[in-house]
Amino acid sequence: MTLPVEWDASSRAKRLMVSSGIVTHQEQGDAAKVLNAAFLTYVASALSALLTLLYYLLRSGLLGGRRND
Amino acid sequence: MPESMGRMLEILRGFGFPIRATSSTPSRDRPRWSRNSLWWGRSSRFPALSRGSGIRRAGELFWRCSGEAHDRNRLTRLDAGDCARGSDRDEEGGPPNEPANLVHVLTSVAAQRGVKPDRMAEIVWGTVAVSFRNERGMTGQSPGVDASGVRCRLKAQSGFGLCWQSIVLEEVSCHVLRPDYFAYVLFMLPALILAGVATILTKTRFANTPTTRPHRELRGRRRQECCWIAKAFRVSRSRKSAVLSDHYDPRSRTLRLSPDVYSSPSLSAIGVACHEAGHAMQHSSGYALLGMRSALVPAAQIGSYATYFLFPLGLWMQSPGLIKLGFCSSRRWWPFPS
Repeated sequence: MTLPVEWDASSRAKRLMVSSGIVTHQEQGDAAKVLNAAFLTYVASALSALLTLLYYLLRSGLLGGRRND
Repeated sequence: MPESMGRMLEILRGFGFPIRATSSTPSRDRPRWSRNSLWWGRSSRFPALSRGSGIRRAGELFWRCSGEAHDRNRLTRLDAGDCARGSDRDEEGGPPNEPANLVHVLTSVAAQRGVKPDRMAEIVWGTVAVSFRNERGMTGQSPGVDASGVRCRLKAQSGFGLCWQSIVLEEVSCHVLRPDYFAYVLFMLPALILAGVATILTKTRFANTPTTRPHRELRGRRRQECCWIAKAFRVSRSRKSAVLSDHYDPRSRTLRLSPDVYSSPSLSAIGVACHEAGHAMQHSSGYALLGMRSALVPAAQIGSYATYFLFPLGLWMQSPGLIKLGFCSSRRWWPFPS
């Protein structure tokens, strides 16, 4: 859920920066780099949440894991 | 084995490292239950992913209990016949679970692991130690080895007026309080690495981007832009000095920017501010996903507090599943906020 929202916000930010003239076209790449890196953290947290969920599902035996309790 | 070494091994084991203790006791003299790899659980093709860690097994053996949990003056029955000495077994339902019998079991465990009996409290779970103190005036407190969680659960339990030896202790200590962190970390390794790389990238890039040229016109334009944003939304300088704690709060329509971002002329600060402004624009243009996300925030908050009512409820109803769920929902056990 967070990912598309953040992605959209980032793309809006890139457009906003250039269209409003805060940032020139030459500088755009640098600013975008930071945004992309920040987006990567969201990807990482989404991945970790997904893996945590998967881990607990496996542990609780819901996904074909061995149930030994 | 020196004592500090033993402690270290104990801690490592606690994290799921499969370290075997060498025992001086010949195997034929060991009680029957010790052959059932009491401390290591059953062997598995994937040892790191198996649930069986020794202490948990021991807890299982000692504290599996049934409907007698309400009886304050009685220790719970041992369910697994394997854990009894042969001579102590009675035919009808396992051994009578007298404290003396448990003392014997614990002493054997101590002998097996090369611990002096007077230090016995160190090798068992807090449940057992505290229960002993409770039942027979034994003052065996587990001094910190694996016992912290259990001790605090015991407190919670006594606060609810339940008996000491309820099924709660076993279930919680077995499966949820002490998960297999080693396996968990292995499992989460990709996410951990990605998170580390992302954080490092963000921080270095944030620190290394050039600043905008100190051009008067540009500054003026930027100020105008800020004014435009400030008109539509409140922009506040967050008091938190945490790096990159910037966010847009749709409820109060506020852009909260960290001091670094708020007052820096660097390109990355502008980028971050614009990103948050992007959220504000999403809000103003009625972007559906943002609405859904902010609708989910209260649910997530309830979820993170669910443990405070699920756990007591599970105690009250004596439902291990509910207790597990309560613990799983506690974010204290999660390495990441999600």
